[in-house]
Amino acid sequence: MHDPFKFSGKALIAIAILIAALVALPFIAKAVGLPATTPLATRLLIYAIAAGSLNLVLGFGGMVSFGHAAFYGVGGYTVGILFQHLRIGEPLFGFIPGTEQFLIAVPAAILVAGAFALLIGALALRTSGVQFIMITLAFAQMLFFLFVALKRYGGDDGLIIRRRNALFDLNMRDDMTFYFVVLIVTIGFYLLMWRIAASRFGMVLGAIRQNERRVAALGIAVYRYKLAAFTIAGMGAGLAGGLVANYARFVSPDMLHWTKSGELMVMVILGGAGTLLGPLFGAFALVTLETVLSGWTERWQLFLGPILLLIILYFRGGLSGLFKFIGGGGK
Amino acid sequence: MLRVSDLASAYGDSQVLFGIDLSIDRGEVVTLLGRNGVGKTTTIRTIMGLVKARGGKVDFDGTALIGRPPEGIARLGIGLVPEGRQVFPTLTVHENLVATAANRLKRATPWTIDRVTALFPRLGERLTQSAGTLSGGEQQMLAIGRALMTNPDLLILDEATEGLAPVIRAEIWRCIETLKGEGQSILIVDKNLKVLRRLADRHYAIEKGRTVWSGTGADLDRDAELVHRYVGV
Repeated sequence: MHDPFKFSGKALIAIAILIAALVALPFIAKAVGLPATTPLATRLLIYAIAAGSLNLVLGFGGMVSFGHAAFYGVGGYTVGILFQHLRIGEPLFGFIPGTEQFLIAVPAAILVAGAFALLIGALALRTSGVQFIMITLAFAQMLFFLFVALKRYGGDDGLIIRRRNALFDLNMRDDMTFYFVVLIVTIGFYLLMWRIAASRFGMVLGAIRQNERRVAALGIAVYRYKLAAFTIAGMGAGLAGGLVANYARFVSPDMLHWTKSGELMVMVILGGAGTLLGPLFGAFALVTLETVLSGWTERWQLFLGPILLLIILYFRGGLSGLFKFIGGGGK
Repeated sequence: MLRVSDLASAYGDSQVLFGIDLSIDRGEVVTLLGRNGVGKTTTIRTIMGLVKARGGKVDFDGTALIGRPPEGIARLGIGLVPEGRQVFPTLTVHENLVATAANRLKRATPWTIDRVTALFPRLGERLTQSAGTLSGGEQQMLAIGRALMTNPDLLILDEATEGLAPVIRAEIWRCIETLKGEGQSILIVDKNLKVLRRLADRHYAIEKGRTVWSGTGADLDRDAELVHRYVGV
């Protein structure tokens, strides 16, 4: 039996080169005296996970969720709050002990974000179209204001995490070590996305994007598939949030702000919605453009806008479409 | 197995169906005849729960269908091949077939990719191609294959040969005949009286949202003039 998601030889080579480049990156950065590149690349990878998770609903499932940052923020706060309770030596809700173990805090971030996604998705997915966009946005804003109001965890000012979570005996303070932890997680995440996209679940999701009623008429309970995708996506965002809390050693309500949801959406669309590696390219492109342009001028957004517009207008598949165009010798 | 009585339905304020009666027994091939716009497709969409019924009854193996969601109705064992084919264009042929496949009624010999490609060899040659690149006839075959892969008790074909080249039509009719030979119950909406006369056990004619005539092949011969007027060919 053929495998519909088997990569062509060319694509496999490209992926191998990409991974090799990501592995070599911190060493090269160090050698050429640009050590700040490593933390920047760490941030890129984390965004790539967040955008990749949004891609599951937005790209594969065709659900325009405008509240994805909520799950990203919830994941971040889970890590932050667990650390805070360890520091003050008082269990959360009186029975959940705090922790600074990476292997506990980050999975907890995934699960808590997933639980929120399940709840919000269960309600929001009863609607569709513009209503769905507005409802996901509304829930995200509610959570945003909840964290603003939570004075105990810093409210508006956010919550400082004194040190990164501990993982085995690794020196997580070291930027290069942390980069490799994030890189491994990112590769694992994208492998999972690849398996999901190739599974029957992924096919049904693609069919739902094209025509929901048609899928229902074939006996598929569309709502359940959408809710499962929405929940998995929320878990992915929770993972990214948990990582970024470690990376920045800080969480704040900004993580849940609607502009963050918008940023993730731009990454997905810019990179190519519904393509496997699109969100990765999108995250790289957006963060790199931001960094480069903001180094040149304070009004960098003035230049970012037209660049995004050009890519979206001329390459329907986003950057993935552009790469395919180049790789295929143009067609 | 399927009994529809006095079915009424509407799109918004404009009522389309006023009183549809029809029934299909196990192993039967039954047709729904009528001109364009008399409510044949609406009848099928209402049976499937895609259009809300305003009145009447639909009964499938003793289960009332009205009020159930489309997926619930499909899961009871009705496979729809919708008008205009409606494959999933970005999925491959193989993905179109397996994505929604199921054997909910626990058939001993369920449909498989191999069986579908034996029925439609053209599909077998194009399994890895995306469905959007298929010709109209191939998409129609894919839509039939996709419905068969849900192992339905009742297969509903809405205008399965509409707009296809004669040679492709013949191939599709031949496959429907094969399915009939295997005991598949089928409800067909079409206008090709000559083929249907030979293929189907019974016929219903619809006009202005009502069942106005029904009968067997012999009745069809007898009332040929009347039925031709209803069908408008």
